[in-house]
Amino acid sequence: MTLAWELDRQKLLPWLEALGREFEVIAPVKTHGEVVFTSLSDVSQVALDYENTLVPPKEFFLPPTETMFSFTTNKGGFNIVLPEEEDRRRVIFGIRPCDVTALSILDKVFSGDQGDEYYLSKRERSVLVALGCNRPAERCFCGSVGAGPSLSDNFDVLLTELDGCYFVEVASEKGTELIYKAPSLFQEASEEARKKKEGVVEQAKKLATRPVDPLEMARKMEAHFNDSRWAQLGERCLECGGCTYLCPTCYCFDVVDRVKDGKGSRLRCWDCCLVPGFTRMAGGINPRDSAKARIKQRFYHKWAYFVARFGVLQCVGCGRCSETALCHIDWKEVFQSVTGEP
Amino acid sequence: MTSIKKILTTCVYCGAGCGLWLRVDNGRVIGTTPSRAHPVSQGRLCLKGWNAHQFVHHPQRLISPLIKRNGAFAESTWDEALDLIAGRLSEIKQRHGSDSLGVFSSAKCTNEENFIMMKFARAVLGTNNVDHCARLCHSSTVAGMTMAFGSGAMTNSITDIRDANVILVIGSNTTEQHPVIAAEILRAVDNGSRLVIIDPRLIRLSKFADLHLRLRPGTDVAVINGLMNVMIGEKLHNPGFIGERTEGFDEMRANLQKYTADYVEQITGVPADDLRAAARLYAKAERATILYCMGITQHTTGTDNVLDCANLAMLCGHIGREGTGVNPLRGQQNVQGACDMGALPDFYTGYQRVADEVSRQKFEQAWSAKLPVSIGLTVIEMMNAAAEREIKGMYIMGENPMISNPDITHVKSALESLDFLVVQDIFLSETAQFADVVLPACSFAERNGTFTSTERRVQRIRKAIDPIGASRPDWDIICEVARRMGYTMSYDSAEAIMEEVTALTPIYGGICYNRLDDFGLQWPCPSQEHPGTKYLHKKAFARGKGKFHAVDYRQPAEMPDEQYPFILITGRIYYHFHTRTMTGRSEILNREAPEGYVEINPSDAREMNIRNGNKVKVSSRRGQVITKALVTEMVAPKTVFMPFNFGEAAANMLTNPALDPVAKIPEYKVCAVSVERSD
Amino acid sequence: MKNPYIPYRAVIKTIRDETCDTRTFSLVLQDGKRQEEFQYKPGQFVEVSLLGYGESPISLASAPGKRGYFELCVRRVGRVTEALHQLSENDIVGIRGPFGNGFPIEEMVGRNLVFVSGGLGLAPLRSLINTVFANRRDFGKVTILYGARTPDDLLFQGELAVWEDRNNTEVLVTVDVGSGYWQGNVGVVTTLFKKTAVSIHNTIAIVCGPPIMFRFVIRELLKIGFPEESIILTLERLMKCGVGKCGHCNIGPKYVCLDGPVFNYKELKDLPDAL
Repeated sequence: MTLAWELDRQKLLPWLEALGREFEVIAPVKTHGEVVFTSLSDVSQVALDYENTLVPPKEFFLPPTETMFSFTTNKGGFNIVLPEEEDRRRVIFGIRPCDVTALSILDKVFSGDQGDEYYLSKRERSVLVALGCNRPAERCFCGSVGAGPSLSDNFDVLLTELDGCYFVEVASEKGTELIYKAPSLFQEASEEARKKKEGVVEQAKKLATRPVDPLEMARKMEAHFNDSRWAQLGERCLECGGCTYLCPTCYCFDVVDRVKDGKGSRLRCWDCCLVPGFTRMAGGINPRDSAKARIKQRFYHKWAYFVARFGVLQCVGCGRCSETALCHIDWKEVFQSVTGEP
Repeated sequence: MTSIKKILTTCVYCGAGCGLWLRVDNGRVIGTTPSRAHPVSQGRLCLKGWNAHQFVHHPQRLISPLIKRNGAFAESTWDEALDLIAGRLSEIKQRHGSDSLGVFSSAKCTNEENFIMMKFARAVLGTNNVDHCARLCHSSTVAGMTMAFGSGAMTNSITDIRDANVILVIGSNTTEQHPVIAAEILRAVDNGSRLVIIDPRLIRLSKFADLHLRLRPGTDVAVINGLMNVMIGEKLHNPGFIGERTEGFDEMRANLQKYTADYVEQITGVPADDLRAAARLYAKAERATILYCMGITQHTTGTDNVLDCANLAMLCGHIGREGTGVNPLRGQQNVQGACDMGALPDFYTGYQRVADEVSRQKFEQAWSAKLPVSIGLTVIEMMNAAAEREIKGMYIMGENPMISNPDITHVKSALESLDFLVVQDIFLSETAQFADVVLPACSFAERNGTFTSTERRVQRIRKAIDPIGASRPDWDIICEVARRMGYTMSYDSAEAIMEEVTALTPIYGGICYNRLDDFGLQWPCPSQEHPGTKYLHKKAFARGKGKFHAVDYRQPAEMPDEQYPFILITGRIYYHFHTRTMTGRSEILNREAPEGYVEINPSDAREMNIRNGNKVKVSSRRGQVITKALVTEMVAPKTVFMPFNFGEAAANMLTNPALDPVAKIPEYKVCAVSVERSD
Repeated sequence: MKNPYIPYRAVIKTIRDETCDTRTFSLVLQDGKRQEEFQYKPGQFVEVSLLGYGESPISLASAPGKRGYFELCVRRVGRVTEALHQLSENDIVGIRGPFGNGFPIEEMVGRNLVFVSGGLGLAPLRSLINTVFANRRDFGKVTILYGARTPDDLLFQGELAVWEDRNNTEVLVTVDVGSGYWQGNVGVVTTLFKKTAVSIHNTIAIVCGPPIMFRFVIRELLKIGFPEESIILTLERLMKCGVGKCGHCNIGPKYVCLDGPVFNYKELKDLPDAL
């Protein structure tokens, strides 16, 4: 049983304000007709009632463009300077369970003995305060892939909205630390509140799609390997890149050098496997030179190959891919037609 | 600490006008994401939009004025450069007259900047020789639609496509040129709309079409006349609408008689049955819309092609309602705006004519200057005049005629003939190489202003970061030159410029920055209370009654012959925008298409022993180009296609500068070439 | 934690032209200690940085050992390799690695080895071939089948002659298109199978070359009767990180930079777009 508290609704902003004195608080804010994660300059800006942002918080861990190092070149060779260490800690508030799960999926890729410092250091100095989804949205299928609508582990702080208050749980030291930044705002959770929270989560799970076992999904994908649907989907794909850029678990990047008069930097930037140049080698040979091969790559990487390697689906059912696809491919529909689940 | 900001602005690439967010970390633009609530982008972008930020911090950005000394560029101060320019332009004006000067304004610059540039040309230089690249793409639209309807702009809105039961796409490779608009077409098709495509190439969109009329290049008038002939023959046209809302029908109708489906098949290669099927689909639909682009405008018969589209829409009454209309898809993100702002030799803002004394006096009064009376030269005419040494000095802003004009060899000699050339841009383009002075402008991410998209939507661009290096907003630079030439043009902000525009321009009457906060306003918007206009010609056409024009099929200026047996079509591709000044410096985009190529049909390739990737030489009467072969069914036999974006394999070395007599648009879409292996 | 994306300085010691567009560079890491500790297995690769241009994954072409330098054989085919070809001795490049899995030498001990390569494919195999020759008694018969487009495109010509003279070793060379002085075999590399008796008994085949060559050679090897696990291949892919993160070299559940570039045919045959 996780440690739990109750936080009165009116005490939420004071808590964020207390956090803001020490951390940078990144939270969803309503602007120009949508909700966007941004640095809060004023806690009252925070949006508390929204489905999910278009751009996932992965952008704060894998930014669209990142400097890996700068360099100078001269006759004697080159000198490399790493970017300055960013040390300010930050709270990502209001992040949904799917996006939290996405980060633990990305952790698997970026850790290890060839660990990626750029990503890991951002993870290290960030604390996630998640907001559970009581009413999953129509396009979401987080339930199918075990990424929502709530969280049972792998989080720092989880808030679940109840009547008049939030049920607050922590599952990490970083999370506990946040509570103790303003302990007077919190009351120990009552049994009643706990039961209410369990009821809310049960209800949300009923509204969410039904869980699918990752290995089972990978097996089903294998069975569908030669379906004609992949060619059809490939024909539709307009190579906009949106599904990849917006996917909270996509991480592929390109590395480019820029230089002028002997001074430059090596950057990495978001890349997308649906464009032909992603695998094209110098000299022109392209192992995936058909749209069918490329779109199949994305579907299979998400729902089969990643499972073989890491044991989990590389998908959190957030539905952003379907929303942003110029060609209106509905990923949820494809998922469900493979599993046969409603 | 990383300071993260997100700024809502408008995409800098095509005329769809998608809303997008620029993400700024520590004063650098590092990413682009779509605006979710924007009526056009709706949370989506194309690959160019997603990478719209990539060129902003490229190391090749111009960060200082450059003056050419002894054949090489040297950095200079702003004062030096501006003084030199003001001095030389004044000198040329005095010695050779105002009309010895010419100005290229820019469809990539803001409305405010186009206004300032044309004001500069007229009030300061004293010439109407101001034009911009709309000449090369949609001048036939402006001419034709003005003649037919009284207004040259897209009649409906992009989202109107959803309400169309039948979508007729003619001369538009929409999935590559306007992907977000193609997305609307696909959505409509998914919901049951029927799609008819008229295009010589097997474009991607045709996979989703009910009918693809694959016509011979340059035969659009014959096809459209054929469609109308069928409609009238089968009594599918709309006599009620014709009688009430139009004039000139009888003459046009009489002209259609010979365009039977069988006759049209002979000329165009389109099977008669397909033509009939297409005619029935369009005419019988409750709402049908026409979307068109360069495929019909860039011809010596471009104006005729557009007039015929207007004829077609009026014939069936598919105009003046939602889900209908005649809709040119404008290429540049602000080419509509550049036209609206009068960066044209014969118009002031809002299509008020230079030739109209009342309009001229209005501007003379507003600007306290005597304004030139005679209509100025167009882009191609200015190039010709430069080559003839009639134009001695030019100021080119944000345009790259060395890649985008037809017959580049001629452009080169024209630029070299000038006494003085100023080029203002964000990168040292191929054209800038010829300049005497190069001025560093700042990008769309570094200043405020407005763009007007193809659906007449005037929207904001917002400054996200400070100008890079010593670059400056284009309008600021021009005002400085004007000041040094003795004419005071001084504005605190881009907003102040728009205030002046609004006061002089009825269709922009109600446009002001605080009304543009979210997603802009569509003109006509004549007053502060007016909500903007979703579609035009609702109760009456802009000119009162819509006018039918009888147009006849005429052959393109240069047809294939024994020496040059292939037709060359030139056009755009998805990954690059125009002359690649920006996309060529966006690594993700450039990687997809790093070099030019020529599409060759497999049967032609076999005959000439050409395989994919082989080097081939493509020659025309204007020049020759060595490029790589791409063997594909996309082009029909005896037709080849080259993207025009690549300087190293410049399609425009080959193209024919023959002009449409009314619009003066060059025939980019048809010229005669020969093809052979070159390795 | 060591940042795997940072290149280390390496000095170009010698440059040898192999063909009109291919050069062999020998390099030494500038930091002496690092050079001493630079261990690799045949079949691994390094990422060569030309800062300002980018990086290129290049297989190590020399046998490992205490020689104090390593060799890379590079064809001029893109921006980075073009820039590399402009460099001279004593110029400096960046090196990251070694990456990848290397050849399974332990499995090859005591076996006969058939090397089949085309064009630049001989370069990664050379590192294994020379390792085998440095430990000749540990291995059985060595057959080297090598093909190039024309006689001028043959790499390591001097070495081919040296290899031929080794004990229990057969070297057969062919070209697609002969020229004046060429006396040898003309035809694609699979034609060499007819010129020698390739036994599958206790034999491992190691293959490297352009994609189209893989298909024909594998077909031939399977026809002769090689078990799928006994056909070893080394693959080429666009690689940007070398550590399994950028995604470019992903094939099925595998990463060419982590699980490869050396694979056996059995692993690869069901992977989409692998060959």
